[in-house]
Amino acid sequence: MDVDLIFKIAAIGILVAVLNQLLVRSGREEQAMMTTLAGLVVVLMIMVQEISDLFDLIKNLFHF
Amino acid sequence: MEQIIQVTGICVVGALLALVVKRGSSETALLLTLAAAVTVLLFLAGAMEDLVAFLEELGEQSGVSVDLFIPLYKTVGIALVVKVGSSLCRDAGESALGSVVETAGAVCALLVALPLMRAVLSLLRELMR
Amino acid sequence: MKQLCMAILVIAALTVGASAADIPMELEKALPERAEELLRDTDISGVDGLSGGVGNILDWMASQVQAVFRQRVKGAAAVLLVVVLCSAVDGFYQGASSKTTLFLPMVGALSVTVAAAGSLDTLIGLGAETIDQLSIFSEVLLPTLAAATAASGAIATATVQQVTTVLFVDLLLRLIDGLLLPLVYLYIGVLTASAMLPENRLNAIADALKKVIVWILTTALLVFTLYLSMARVISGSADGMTVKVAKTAISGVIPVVGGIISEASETVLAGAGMLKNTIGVFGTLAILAACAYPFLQLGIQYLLYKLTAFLAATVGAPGLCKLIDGLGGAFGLVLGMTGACALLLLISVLSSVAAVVP
Repeated sequence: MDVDLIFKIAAIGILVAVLNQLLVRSGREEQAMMTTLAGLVVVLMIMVQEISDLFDLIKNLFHF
Repeated sequence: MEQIIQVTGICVVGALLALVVKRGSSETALLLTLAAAVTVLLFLAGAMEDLVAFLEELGEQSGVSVDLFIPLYKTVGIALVVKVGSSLCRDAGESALGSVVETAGAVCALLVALPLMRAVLSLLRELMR
Repeated sequence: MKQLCMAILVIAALTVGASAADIPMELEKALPERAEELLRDTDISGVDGLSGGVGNILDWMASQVQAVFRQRVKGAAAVLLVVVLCSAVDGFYQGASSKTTLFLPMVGALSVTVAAAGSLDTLIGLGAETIDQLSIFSEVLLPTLAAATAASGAIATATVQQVTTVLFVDLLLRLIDGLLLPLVYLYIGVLTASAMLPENRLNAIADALKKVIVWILTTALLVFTLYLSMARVISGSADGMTVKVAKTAISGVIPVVGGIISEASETVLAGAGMLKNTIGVFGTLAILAACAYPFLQLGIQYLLYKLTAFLAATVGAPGLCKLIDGLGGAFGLVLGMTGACALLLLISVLSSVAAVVP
């Protein structure tokens, strides 16, 4: 099972959260927003392959 | 048995991590839950394949045409996807989107069942001839 | 002039009487095929003609039971497999989405009916075919019997009785072909429809249909026997017995099948004493032989379907279980119809022979 994926995303999530807090505290809100967005994009890119695999699987399994 | 323990373990750990991450950025938390769900579903794929193969074998042995049961399998797949999808939307706080997903699921299920209903009609017509 | 006519009549009667001892050629030709095979080695003219013949038929049925059973079990097993499949898919669906799908009853009912369709067609066709053959046979048997009856002296009775019997048999057969068989198909259709829609309001219609069919059948039989007893063609013990037959047939609404079969056998056995006439014996045996195979098939199928319905209930699909039960009932109905025809013919054979007894 691909547990590393979850931990990777968790790690990125915590990183983004910490960066977010830092930037907000120092008053640079736009950059905080951009970091969040960047983190999201990275996570999505990591996950895209897995999600596509899942949908292929469901398609084959249930005879679509 | 170990399968279910592993699955439960991953889901609980994922939920905990999501709680942690939520404090900082809730979007990533949602993505984290999604990732956990996808992983577990991929893992279950093997088991589900066995189940569906068994069902197909039963169908073959009884001599009923496979076409009758395909809409049923498709409906199961739709139900699965819809359930996970709408729950994710509600987790994000968008219950409206969740309801939309469920409605779409119902409509698609009906669409998929159209050939089935046509078969029903033709059989009834033949019987009443 | 009168004397000349009487003389001619008597001569004609005598010539007919002479050939009454053997079985006329046309009668043999009109035999249903299965009856022919069974009766080939039966010696009819002896004292034990009837019981020997019946014994032969029973032996043959016993020997065929296993083969027929194995044939029919395959069909019933297919239906059971469909039920298991449906419950498995249901469980799967409930796991995926915690409520039942709309389509499972539809698919289940559809597949059960499709799985049963093969045997439905074969066996209902078998029943209809047997009824047809019985009708053809009776067209030859009844006049021959009437001729024999006339030959032994009861000319008027013979004519009247023959005419009425032919009329009734024809009526009943037309009733079965034109009304009851289509009704059975309709019954099956309503059953399937009611199994597909979870609200079983159609179930009440199906039940009503079944009751209507049974009622029509038993009423027809009752009318026939009452008429015969009224016309005093059947004498003495046979009279009371046929009325009893009709009564039992009406009261036994559900095991119409069992009632008709048991009463038919009682009729035959009780009438054995009266069947001194060779043709009567031959006719009775032929009717029994022609019915043996369809009875076996339909009866076994009926039992198997009832068993499958019971097993389906344990696997847990109540709608499908009712459908299978109903399908078994349909087979029972066809069996009842074939039995009713056979009973009708048997009674008419008995009545014509009874008229012979002085």
